[in-house]
Amino acid sequence: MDLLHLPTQDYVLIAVGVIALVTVLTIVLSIPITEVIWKYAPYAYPLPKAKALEAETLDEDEFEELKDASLRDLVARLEELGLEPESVRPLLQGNTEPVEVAIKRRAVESVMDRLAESGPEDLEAMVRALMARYELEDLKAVIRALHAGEEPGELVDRPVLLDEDEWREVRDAQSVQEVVERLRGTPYDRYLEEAVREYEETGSLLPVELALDRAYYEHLWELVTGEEVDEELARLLGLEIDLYNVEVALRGALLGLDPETIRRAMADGGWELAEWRKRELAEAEDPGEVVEQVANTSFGRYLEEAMEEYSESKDVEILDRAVRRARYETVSDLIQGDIVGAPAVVQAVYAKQREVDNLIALVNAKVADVEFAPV
Amino acid sequence: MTQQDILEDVNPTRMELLKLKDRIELAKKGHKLLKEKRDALIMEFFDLVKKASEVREKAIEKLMKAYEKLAAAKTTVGTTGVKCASMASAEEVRVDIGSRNVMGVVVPIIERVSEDGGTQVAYGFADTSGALDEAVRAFREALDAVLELAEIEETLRLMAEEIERTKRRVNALEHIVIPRLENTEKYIEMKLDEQERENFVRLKRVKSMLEERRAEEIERELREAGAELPELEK
Repeated sequence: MDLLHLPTQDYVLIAVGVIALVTVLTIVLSIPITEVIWKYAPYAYPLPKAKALEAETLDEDEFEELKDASLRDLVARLEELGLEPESVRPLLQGNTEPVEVAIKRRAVESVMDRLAESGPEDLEAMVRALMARYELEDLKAVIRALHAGEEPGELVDRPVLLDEDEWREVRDAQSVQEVVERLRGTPYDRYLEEAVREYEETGSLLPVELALDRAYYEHLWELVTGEEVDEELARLLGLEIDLYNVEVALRGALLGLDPETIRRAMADGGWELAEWRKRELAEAEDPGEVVEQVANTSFGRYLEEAMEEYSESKDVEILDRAVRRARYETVSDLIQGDIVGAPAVVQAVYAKQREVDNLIALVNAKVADVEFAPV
Repeated sequence: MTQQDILEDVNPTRMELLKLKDRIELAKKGHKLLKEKRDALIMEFFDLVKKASEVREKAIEKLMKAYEKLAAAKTTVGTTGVKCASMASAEEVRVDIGSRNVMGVVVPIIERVSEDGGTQVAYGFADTSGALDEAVRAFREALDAVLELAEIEETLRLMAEEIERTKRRVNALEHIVIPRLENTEKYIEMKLDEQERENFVRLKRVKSMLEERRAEEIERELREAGAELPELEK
């Protein structure tokens, strides 16, 4: 039978059959293909979201433009970014506090909404752990205010590792001891019991502060040492801990703190700094010695560059900036070889945090009429 | 010499004159000592003024540096971060005020008492920065400089008051007390001289009267004895 001379109904039937066959084949083949994609690119789903988030984030060029903008233009630009006018307008009167909190809150909300529940579990946990930086600030604000008998001021008020109820209880606590009690069973409850005992004996808040800092970083390390963690992600967060420990050593050396206090402030874990190296860092007598000891690490070059500048001006801000720069640049370095991996997703979190740091620096520099240099 | 230039209710006696001479001597000695004290205080005051201006400049410089560091700290951790970290310390500025004696002037010694036993950091490292540590250190140094300035300025104020008081005493001694005592001395001497002269005249007069009376008595006795005496013109 000649196919060209079939009746019209038969053509329709053939077409439907072909479409059905293609659909079935697509469904059948999509399962193994998806499995292959999930296997080789587990972060393919959150990646576009991360890229979208990153695209919305102000980049270096935009900061360069804002550097020369007037305060009024800056206010307008911040409103364009979606910050509430009631938070931004006080800038015109020289009050930066509402806008600082609004910038942090916006960062937490955008990262949590887009990335915290969109990817593999390890990524979700990492994103939460990284964004807990602002929760840690809120926790400390509450504790310090209770210690000083004052009001904590404006808070970011967006819990990340704590749930809403836990956070509300912490916020409503009446004493430092009560806060510690409410934090039992949370990722922050690592060294708090001993710290609060010391606080009661000495009246110094430092042990509690150090316990919270260590808990924050060691929670990150716990995620890294867990099962089935992307290696690059583990490296990234390990370096985060290393950089914190280096910062503690640098500041400890500058402040002339005793090695024991510095060692107590250092977090366990890390990617490139072994325990013996941390002990040596804690014993360093000047920042130069610290930089020398980390010269061979992946972030050593940032500190070495800064050290040259620091030795001329003795401006500690240079070292602060170098540590921050090392933190943000390391992510960019890691992503070079893995554009669809976890670091590519986490880069959006770092980009957002970098934006927060730069915006806070910018508004304060504008108000104080000092030079602003983005990190 | 007016009545106001001498002491009131003074008896122009030799005893009073002797007492007055002692007082003049004492006043002159006191005047000399006070002048020396005033000169020494003025010298010390000018040294302190020089030092105070250096300390004031140092305090202003330190405060300016501290505010620069604070601005830098704000660019790293934000104004909220700085305020929040400041509450971690809850340290009150306590000062210990002692005293020392500078040429008879009791001046204060102000020292800051560190309550936390000299701990240089009260907050954790995760949410703060080295720039904040520097700002804290700069403000501690500025506070020490301000306290040093307060000590010197208070010392200057007390010394200026003492100089003023001493100057007034020197002037009072030089222009009022000593001249008045000297005038009184002169007045008593004058009075005593006058009294002496009066006594001398009185004595002379008494003597001549006695001599006259004696001559009359002799004349009367001679007449009674029958002697003829020529009439003397009186």
